[in-house]
Amino acid sequence: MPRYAGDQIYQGGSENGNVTTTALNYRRTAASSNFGTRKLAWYTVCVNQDLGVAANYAENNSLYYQMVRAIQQGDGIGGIDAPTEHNGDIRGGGGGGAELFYVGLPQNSSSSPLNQQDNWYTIKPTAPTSAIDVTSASGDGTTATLTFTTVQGAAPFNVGDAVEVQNVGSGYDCVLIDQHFVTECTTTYVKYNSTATATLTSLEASVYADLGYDCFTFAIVDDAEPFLPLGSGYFGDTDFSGVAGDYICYCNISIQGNTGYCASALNLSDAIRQVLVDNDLNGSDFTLFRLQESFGLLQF
Amino acid sequence: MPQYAGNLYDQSNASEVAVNTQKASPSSLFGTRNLKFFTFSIFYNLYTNQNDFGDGSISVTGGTADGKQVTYTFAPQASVPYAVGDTIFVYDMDHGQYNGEYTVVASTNSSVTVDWYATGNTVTGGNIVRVAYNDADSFYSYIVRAIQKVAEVYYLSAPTWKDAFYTETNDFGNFVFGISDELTAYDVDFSNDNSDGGHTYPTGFGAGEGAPGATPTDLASALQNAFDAIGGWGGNGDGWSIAVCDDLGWGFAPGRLAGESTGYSLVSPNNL
Repeated sequence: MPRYAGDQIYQGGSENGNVTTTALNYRRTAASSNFGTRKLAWYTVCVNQDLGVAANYAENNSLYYQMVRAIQQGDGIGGIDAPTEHNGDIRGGGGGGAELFYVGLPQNSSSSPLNQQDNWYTIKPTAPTSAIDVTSASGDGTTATLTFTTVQGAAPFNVGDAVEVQNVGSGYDCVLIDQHFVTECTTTYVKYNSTATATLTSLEASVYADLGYDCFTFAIVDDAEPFLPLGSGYFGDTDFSGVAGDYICYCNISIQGNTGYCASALNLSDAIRQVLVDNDLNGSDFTLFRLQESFGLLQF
Repeated sequence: MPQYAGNLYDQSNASEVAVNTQKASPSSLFGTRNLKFFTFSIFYNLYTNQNDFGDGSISVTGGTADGKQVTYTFAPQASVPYAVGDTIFVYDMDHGQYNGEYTVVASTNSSVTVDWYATGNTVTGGNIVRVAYNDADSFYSYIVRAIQKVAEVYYLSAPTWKDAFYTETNDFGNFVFGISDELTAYDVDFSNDNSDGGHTYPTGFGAGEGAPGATPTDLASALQNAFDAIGGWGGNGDGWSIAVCDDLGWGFAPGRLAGESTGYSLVSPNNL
């Protein structure tokens, strides 16, 4: 049997292997100083972009810093909920307490340079705005300017957001996947990269943008073997009682017409939710996914 | 400056995973090496160890589900198709609750039984395919060993059923691996790649650059040599590629092409 013939590759995952099969490296027998590590579980946190997690990550005591600290050390305040028990696994109020192996920088899924270059539009998180009516358009061959029909209360888009333009014509129209991005935006107009040059007025057109989410990935050590979810509910659920005290449940989702599973790490969610609440923010303004492996480490 | 405010690891590109030795927080796990993550992709279904996902599949004709076990029945086969302990993948069932990856607990030449809690709907439709990437002579195992000949593997994922469902072809296989760039015996040659899309990648990981004690040989070339030794994969239409995984915030996805098979070009599975 080859050295990597499956018995040394983590197949358990959870929900009969439909969730992460991330390396139980310590099971490997091949001589390698680097295989002596522990099983990792990868996650991504996606936060509403208006909280500035990506834009302000380097500021002292930033939300990003607080979230990472909460994931690593717990929220340190006591948590929203009292400690609870689930199938014998005690979950501390507030969650957190995971041993971090990796943490990435937060990036906006629409406007960050890498997300602009890598056209993963169909699978990355998107947050499209409402369509805003446009009354006129002009362009210099490099940048197009669309004037809003009514003055907005605040600049509706951020620089770098992907835009979709409809019903202007003359080369102005584009869809989000076409890689047109906001270069400037005020309460009265938006500029974006375009080769259009016509001057158009009295339009009945519209523009909207993908604000994206501010996301960052992290990896924690997860030594716990999951309990198989036999008989635990229609969709099933699984406890991870390891370092993170992670608790994951499943739901049926449909991606491209196929059934898959999503996972929610409730314990770590508690930690992040507590950070938002402590900052007088909406504790629901985020999502947390356990990443799974296919052609990358992705949310499905 | 916050503890994790970016100054502790390389921000110049998002492919540089964990310069953990620079972490200031005490942890036994932070003493690891700087890792490069890659996606390996090939026009071959590594998960089932078949050219196409459905090759060798058996159609389900019926079955039972009692809340603890599900038994799938099918037309009698010439021999028992699955052994106890085998992994099977069931898909396209009329009721999605019976889809999934399971371990065989009982088998005959016309049925297979697995532990699964689903019940309440008829067990109809669908297909069963045997999961074979963990077979002793699977192509996946050859590839992993080929990689290990040229790089010190730190992280390794298995092929999954998602490869067939989430890419547009059923004959596609992927897995992610991480190598330590300090200890990589062979370097990755980015010099001939024009598909970087404007990324700013650091120096020090190109051919002949900054790999102490390393032979400045291209990882892709070394892999091709290894594949040639086991049958010439890559030159006959079964193209493969390796791409550096970018940390995009919402996950890791293959970005810059780091090498591909000779004689056949493989487009990164960025076609969802």
